[in-house]
Amino acid sequence: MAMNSHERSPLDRAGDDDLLLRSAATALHQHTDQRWVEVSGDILVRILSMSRPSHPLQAMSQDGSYQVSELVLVMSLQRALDVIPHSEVTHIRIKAERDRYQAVAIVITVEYPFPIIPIADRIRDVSVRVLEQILGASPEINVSGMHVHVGDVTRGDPKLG
Amino acid sequence: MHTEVAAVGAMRVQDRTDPVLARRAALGDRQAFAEIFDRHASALYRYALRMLNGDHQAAEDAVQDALTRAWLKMDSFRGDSALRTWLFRLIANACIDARRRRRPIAVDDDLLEVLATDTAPGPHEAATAEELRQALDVALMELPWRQRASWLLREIEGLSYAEIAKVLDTNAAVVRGQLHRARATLAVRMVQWR
Repeated sequence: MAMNSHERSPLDRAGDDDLLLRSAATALHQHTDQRWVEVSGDILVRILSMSRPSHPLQAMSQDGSYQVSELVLVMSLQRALDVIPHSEVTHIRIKAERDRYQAVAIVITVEYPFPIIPIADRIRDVSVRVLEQILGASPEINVSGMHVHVGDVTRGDPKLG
Repeated sequence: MHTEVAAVGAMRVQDRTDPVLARRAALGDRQAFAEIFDRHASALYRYALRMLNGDHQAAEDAVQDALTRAWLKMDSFRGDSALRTWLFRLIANACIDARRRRRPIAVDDDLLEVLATDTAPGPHEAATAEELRQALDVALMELPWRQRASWLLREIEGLSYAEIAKVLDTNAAVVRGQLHRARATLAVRMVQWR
């Protein structure tokens, strides 16, 4: 049976159906729910107000001893080390005995072809300064207790990835 | 030293890749996590809203649960999969938890009104994008859970079959089958709407 010009073949109709679903999917993909726009800021604030569990570390000042969260130490180290170019800190592990700081292991990614040793030396120096500022001077805080590991080498800036 | 600080300071958080942001967030960098949130949270909400039958409050709670877990456990993200895939796995699990504890929810009458246009004439070219989206939302609600999840992750979020399998804790062959059935059902429902 011949189709007249107004009838669509099954293939054409299937193509139309597919196009309709694709158009609907595109509309859904492009749609931003107004409710999300209104609440997303509050949700982010609530999430970031959550504290991660963290070990307390003993710190000393002129006024006596107090405790500092290990997470505060890690965040302070990360911020201070972030200014060192051609490297990116990827992990920081604090070693402690009970609540006494013992050593720190810092894993970095380094940008090729910049020399690793001067970067590692700077990381140790900066880390000593940060640890002394937060924990107070102590025999355990010295460059021999700063373990710097190169976890990866990249061709581009490791801070961007 | 000041030049270095200025150079690093000038580096915009938006320029960093997801793996770098995840590493920094794991070290406690809130700005990095906020950027992850800006990039991915709206897609997680879009997914949760449709998996939870349009219940906005449940979707918000699911996103907050999933991303709180991400923030607190960011150091458990090893980078074996894309950050986006990991986040979708978290939201998929949050949605499953929400479904387990939720009460039955009355279907929104406004959504059903879209179905009333089944017999209405009019070519799809004339339909607005908003009408199409609403019709699709109604059709999606009729899909079984796994078919709906597979279709959303593939057609809306652009995940690969392997990534969807990771998110839904299944394998790519199952995902392929779910997608095939979902597409067929949705095509029929959209034609009925037209």
